[in-house]
Amino acid sequence: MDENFDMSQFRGDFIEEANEIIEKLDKELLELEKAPKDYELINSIFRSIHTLKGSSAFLNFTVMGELAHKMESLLDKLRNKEMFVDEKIINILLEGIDKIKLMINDIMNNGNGEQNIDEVLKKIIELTEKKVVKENSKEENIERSIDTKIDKILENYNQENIEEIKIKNSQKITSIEKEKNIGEEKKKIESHLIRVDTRKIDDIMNLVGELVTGRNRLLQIGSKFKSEELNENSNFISRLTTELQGSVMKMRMIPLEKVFNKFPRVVRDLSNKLNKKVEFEVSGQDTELDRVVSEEIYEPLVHMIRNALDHGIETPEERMANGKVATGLISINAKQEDNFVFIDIKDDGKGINSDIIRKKALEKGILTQKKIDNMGKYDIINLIFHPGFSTAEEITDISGRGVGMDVVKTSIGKLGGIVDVITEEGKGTTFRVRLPLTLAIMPVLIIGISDKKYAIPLNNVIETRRINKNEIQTISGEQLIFLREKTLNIVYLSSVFNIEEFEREEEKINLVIIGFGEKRVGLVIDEMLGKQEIVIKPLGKYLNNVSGISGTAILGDGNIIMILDSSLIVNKGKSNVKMKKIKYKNIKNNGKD
Amino acid sequence: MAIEEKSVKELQVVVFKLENSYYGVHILQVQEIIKMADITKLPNTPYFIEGVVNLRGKIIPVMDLRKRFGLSTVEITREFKILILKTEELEFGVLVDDISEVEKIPVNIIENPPKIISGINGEFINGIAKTEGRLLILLDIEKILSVEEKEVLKDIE
Repeated sequence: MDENFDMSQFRGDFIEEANEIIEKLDKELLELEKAPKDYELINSIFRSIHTLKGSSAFLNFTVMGELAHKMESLLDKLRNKEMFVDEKIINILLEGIDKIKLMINDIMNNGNGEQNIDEVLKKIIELTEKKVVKENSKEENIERSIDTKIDKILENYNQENIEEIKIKNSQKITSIEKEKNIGEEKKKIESHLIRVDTRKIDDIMNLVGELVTGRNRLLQIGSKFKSEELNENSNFISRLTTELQGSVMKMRMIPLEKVFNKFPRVVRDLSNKLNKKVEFEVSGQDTELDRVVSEEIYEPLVHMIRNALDHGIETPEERMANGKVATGLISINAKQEDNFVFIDIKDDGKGINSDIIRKKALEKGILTQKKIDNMGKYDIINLIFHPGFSTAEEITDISGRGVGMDVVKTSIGKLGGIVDVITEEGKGTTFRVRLPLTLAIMPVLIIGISDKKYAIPLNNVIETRRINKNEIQTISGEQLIFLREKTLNIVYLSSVFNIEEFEREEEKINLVIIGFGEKRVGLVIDEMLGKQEIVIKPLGKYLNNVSGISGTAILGDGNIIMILDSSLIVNKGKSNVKMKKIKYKNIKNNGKD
Repeated sequence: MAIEEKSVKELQVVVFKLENSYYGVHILQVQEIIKMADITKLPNTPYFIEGVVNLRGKIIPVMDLRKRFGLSTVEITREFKILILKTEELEFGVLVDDISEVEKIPVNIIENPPKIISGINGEFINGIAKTEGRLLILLDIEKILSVEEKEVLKDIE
């Protein structure tokens, strides 16, 4: 049916639009909480809700329409200064937004956005129907009359005369001018934008990847035939391909703003729940990152922000007692340097106490006393990334749900990033996340072990060394060497994978020193085959999450190479990674052998 | 089920050979047939996954059906073919001895699968069809990637 097809098309558009609006509303409502007299903001919020109301009614999402309608009435009162913004109103509007979020999710799952909204509606109606209480001070009334006067005057004057009007309330004027300018600028920008389905861009990316492989072949053929003309042409194609690759990469980049916009709300709700006072600062949200990375990074970041609130920031009383200001500060900042994006999550809370960590680690049996005694403070702090480690005294529903920093670390590791922690007791903690700018293309070191080639992400390669066999010592079953006063565990790929390695006859052994976070291990290899930029190919749905492999790539000769998961190799040198035994149904063999 | 006399519904299947038996897969589930390619082995994967191949820039997992069905295994040679199958969710390849043809099978001759046939478990089979002089085993490729195993594959850690 044509009609159905159209409807589904509309649905898709609606979901996308609604999500955008909701995101914007979340942000603007929190701004409004801080600046309750910002009428531009109120107008903008009103318009967004109005749009939602219209489009939901058009698609027969009646429940959403009804809720939006009531919210709109409330905003209308605010707009007309019949009521004034207070915490109660912000709360109820946010509650409404949360309901709408649930509805959108339902619609995404092919529902029609049914939610029970009686409760919210009741609250909104109560608020809206309330006669305007005489609470608005004289000041506000005066302001209102001035505002209306200004409005009138402005209507009568043209732009040039505005400047001459001498009114104390000059804010109003500047904001009008601003809006005019912003409006114009926006129009200019928007006229350059089109919406493209990301899958289409991914398709182009794949084609470009193949083009690169094809180009490499062409260059090989060219060198074989030694034809001037052919070489000239293939070099030309080669240049174009590189540029095309760059352009498509840029297409996939989006600003982090989309991710960061969700955080103020998280902080607000959680700080209320915990009775903590906190300021939240966001900066560098225009830093761009590959779309895939920015989608995946949201969860880990939220977890760290929650942690900062839950474990970092103290209660106002505690802060005052320690001579701090009652209100804590959490900030998130992003910046780009070279081919990396750094995101810092910083709090000015109590910092991480290494003694507590030490005690917990012993209690939980993560490490033996002997090991812990030999650890520096920094290594102990880093135990927070250990699986099964959670210092929350009681299990709250905020953190400590068994989803600890180890999961954060793993997820960031999967994106080819690392996370570090810097903490000072009493002063606060900073978690620093470093992410590659893009996931699709990665510089790697190609190595040979026995008769196979593997790739290691260059970000994780610290250095390469040749050592003598006799430098390796075996201490309590672990092989290690001493390197610059430190011990370094030696790892063989056959202990990570079920593969066979040839005997190494020579006295010299090649090591690649791999780093992941703070950990370092030396992987024994046979040859070093050079650096290369590769286009990463996921393993697909059927084989996703193959332990120890973070992806694959296709080399110039068409062969597939595995990209090793540095985090697993590094952890292999420290502990035993569990391998699941998979049970298959015993299928009878018919006696034929 | 009323079968109309005039137009007997037909099923188009791609027929391939494994051991000494003939198997059929619905033609809509077959994407293409390729010659034996270089298969890159992967560690930490189920034993019946032979590895992955590069199909025009896509990484496609390849399964050894002999191992999957619990038949006796043989040395994999260049003579094998790879049948690229597709489900709604994914593409994967299976190693087969040879592809014979596309055959039209009248729906009304398809019988329910027995518990075990030619040494393979009935759970992978949609039905069997006896045509002139041979028995054709119709495979259920969704079952070959059965749900339980899909889950298992997802959390091999």
